[in-house]
Amino acid sequence: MIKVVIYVNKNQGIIGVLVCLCLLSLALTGSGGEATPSSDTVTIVDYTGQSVEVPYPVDRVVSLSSSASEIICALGASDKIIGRGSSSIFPPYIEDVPIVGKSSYTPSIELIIELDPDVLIADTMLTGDNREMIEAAGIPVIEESFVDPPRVTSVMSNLGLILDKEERARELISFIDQYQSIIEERTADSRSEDKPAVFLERGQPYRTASASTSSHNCITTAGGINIASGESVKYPTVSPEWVVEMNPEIIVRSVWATTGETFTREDLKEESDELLSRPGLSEVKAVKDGRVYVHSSKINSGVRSIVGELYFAKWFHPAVFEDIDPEAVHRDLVQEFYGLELEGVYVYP
Amino acid sequence: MSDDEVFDAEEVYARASWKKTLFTLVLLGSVLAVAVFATTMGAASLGMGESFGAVLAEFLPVEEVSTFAQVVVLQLRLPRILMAIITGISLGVAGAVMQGVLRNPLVSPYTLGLSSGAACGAAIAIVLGVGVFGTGRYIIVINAFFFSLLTMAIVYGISRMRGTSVETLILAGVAMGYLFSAVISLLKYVSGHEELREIVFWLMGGLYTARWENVIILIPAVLFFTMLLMRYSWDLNAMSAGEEVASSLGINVNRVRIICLSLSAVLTASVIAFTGIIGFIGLVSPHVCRLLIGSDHRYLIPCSGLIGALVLLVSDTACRTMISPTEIPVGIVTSFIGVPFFLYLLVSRKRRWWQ
Amino acid sequence: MKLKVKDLSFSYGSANTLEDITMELDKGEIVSLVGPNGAGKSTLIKCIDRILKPQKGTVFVDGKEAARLSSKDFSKMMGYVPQSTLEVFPYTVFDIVLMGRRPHIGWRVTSNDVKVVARTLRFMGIEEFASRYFDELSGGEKQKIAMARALAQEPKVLLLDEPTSNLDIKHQLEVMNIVKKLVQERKISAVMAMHDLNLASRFSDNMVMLKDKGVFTVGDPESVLTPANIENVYGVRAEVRNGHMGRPYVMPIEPL
Repeated sequence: MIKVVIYVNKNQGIIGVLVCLCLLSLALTGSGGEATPSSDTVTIVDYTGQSVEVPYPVDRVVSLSSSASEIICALGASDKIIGRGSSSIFPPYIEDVPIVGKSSYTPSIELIIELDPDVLIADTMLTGDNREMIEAAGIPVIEESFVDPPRVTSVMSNLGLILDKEERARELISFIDQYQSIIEERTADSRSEDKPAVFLERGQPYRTASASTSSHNCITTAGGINIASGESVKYPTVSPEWVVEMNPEIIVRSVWATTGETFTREDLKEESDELLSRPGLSEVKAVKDGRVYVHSSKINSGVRSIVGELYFAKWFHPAVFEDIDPEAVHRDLVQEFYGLELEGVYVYP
Repeated sequence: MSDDEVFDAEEVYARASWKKTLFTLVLLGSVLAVAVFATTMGAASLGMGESFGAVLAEFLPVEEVSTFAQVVVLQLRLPRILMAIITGISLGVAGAVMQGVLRNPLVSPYTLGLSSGAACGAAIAIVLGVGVFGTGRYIIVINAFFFSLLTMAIVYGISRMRGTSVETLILAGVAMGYLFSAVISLLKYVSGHEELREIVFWLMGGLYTARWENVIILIPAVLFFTMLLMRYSWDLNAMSAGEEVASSLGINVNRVRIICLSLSAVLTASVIAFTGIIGFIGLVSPHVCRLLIGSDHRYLIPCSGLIGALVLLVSDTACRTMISPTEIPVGIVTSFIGVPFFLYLLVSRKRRWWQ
Repeated sequence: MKLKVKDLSFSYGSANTLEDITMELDKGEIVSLVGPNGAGKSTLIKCIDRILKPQKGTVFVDGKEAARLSSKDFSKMMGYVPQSTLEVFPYTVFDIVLMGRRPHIGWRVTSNDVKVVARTLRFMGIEEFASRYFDELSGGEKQKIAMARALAQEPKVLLLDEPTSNLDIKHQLEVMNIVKKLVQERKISAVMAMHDLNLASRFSDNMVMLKDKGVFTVGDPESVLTPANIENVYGVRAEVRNGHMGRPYVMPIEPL
């Protein structure tokens, strides 16, 4: 019996997922699946376009990508993660899992081969050489991108499939999709003159993001106009005087959070105060109108990026999204999919 | 032989001195001219008249200027231009003095481990200050300053054990530099990649953090230390003939050395703590001056400072405007502008300059 | 100006060692320090000039203890000419000689300073080099400039560390003649560390022969340069003949 699942994604056409599930029902003898090596496999196509055949269902996963780890845990399969990249720090209980490298760029091949997982999941920082080495050891490698939302959705269903958590994956996708479509519907009919000019700052002062970055997409989706979209450098540092001249209506500052610690309100207030104290910015509309927002980068990546998206939308169009409470959505999300209480502060003010 | 020839020598000397003085004045004039020009350049579309108007409006009751012009010119461009000038002066002066003290043309203000010390301090602040940039900015500055002086002290302390020869100083400095670079690499490696990007940014150096409140402190400090160092010009001249000769000319070589090295270290550290590591200027400015006016430290120190200021100001203005509003890291531009100029001077002069 | 060295001892490492050196020098006198390699000639010169600090003993200049003088005052009395001069950075000859005025000037160069430098250059016969750069010059010219710098200090005693060791014979004679002329005309004294026994013999009033870190013998060239002394100190069999102006001339024959 061969089951073929084809996902049609409106942005990407028929890539995403092509799944061949080869279930050899004869193998299900029921006389102890552990004794006889299971010949069940499932094939998925990863971001690089390679077909990857993995055992079904996967029991032992090494995840070098923090986003992948978040998704796997949200699917209720955290017990299947037997190794992680040290940047995987959410949900907090994942920190009990042994570390097998720092990121996809610097995996410890030895540790991975020693763990001998059913599959390794990495992001696009994985080098070709490392991928070959791991595959040569008989470990299937799935290389994924977690940058844009449609792709993340297909990764969720892929992972749901191979981990035998398809139902849970559908729940997660629909949780995210319902808010995604609220944002899309409500910003779709806003005319361009209603869209606020936004200056987004990432980490370093005046470092921003041009078009073709996830930050830019985030602004655009939430119904804002990225003032730096036309720059040729991907993450340019721009002249302060230019920002003054562009006179953005909104300034958003992303503060990078790379440890498990969450920010306090004081931390984010300091960031905001630093920004407001910068010479020249007092003349900018966003500062005059009090529309300067600081947020933790944790709500901008992985499963929680929908939360960041909602905050952006609400900041950009407060009247339109009056009924939406991003914090409540954030709380629901971590409660429902991670069984956690929401802790720490993610935005200021 | 008549006594006339003796007086003739006096005239020759006076003429040579006047030439050097004139060169210094021309440099000073160029720095001021470029500074004035730079106030009209930038990403914001301000006309020349508006830019000057904004400056003049501060001092004279002239016609109304837009707040925008005032903000851009007075709050953003002027502090940055001044920062470029004082940073260039500091690095040029410190480079000239360090080369003189250590009698080595390959020395820069960073040779005794200052830059890697500062970078290490900054890296520790960045990585262990975990992303809190608000207070972080001053944590970085203070850490960088403190660590660079600490490195210098360690290097000097180590070389003292071997009788403070110039070679031990330089080698100890280079070795400490490697050690601190290793610490930075380690911090880069263990920290998240976004923090890493911040360290990389700091290592490249830049003047984008210029603010009036920093500039106001740095200007008098830099001028004061430069004056202090210039007082040692004669001693440095004599020391370039070797320690023994200097000593026989009544100079306490060890004392002058520790004073000059410490003053240059403080001078360098106080600016790079704000700007990050801006390379090339401290190494090359003194050489450019030597090519043009010789090695007399009475002229070399101020001219090297002014050349440093000129190169950095031109580079920073270019980096602000070349693909504006995006800014190019100033170190890249400094090398692109400075290296061809320096190589031209190097090749076009026939004399062998450094033994 | 009288120079007196009393019970001077110095040690640093194993190479530079002196033990209980005592010697005297009269005004207007040239004294050569001779002795084999490692006997401490250069070290003694540097100890006299306070470049090295002796552990024990005293140097008296005109009856005054040298160590008690300020380094500025001391440097107005003694000029030092190193064995070789290496300028790392480009200076003109004038600037280098002007450095010799360091003990006399504050910041500004006075017209007197410039005159002293100009006279010194003329005295040395190198005034045409004044505005040339040091590294363009030959070894002999460089040696003269190093001497000119020391002379610009207007010292009472000139200390020369092997002034002829890197020179051709013409420059050797020129340099030694300048020393002689200086001592005669300016009534200063000179102490030279010398390798070349015959040059030392010809130009010195007195010689100090060093052996094994100490003074072996002192006296005029005739009394110092005897075959027995040379054999004892250098370990070389030599003949001593009557040379130019009746000074002894040493002909080394063979090492023992």
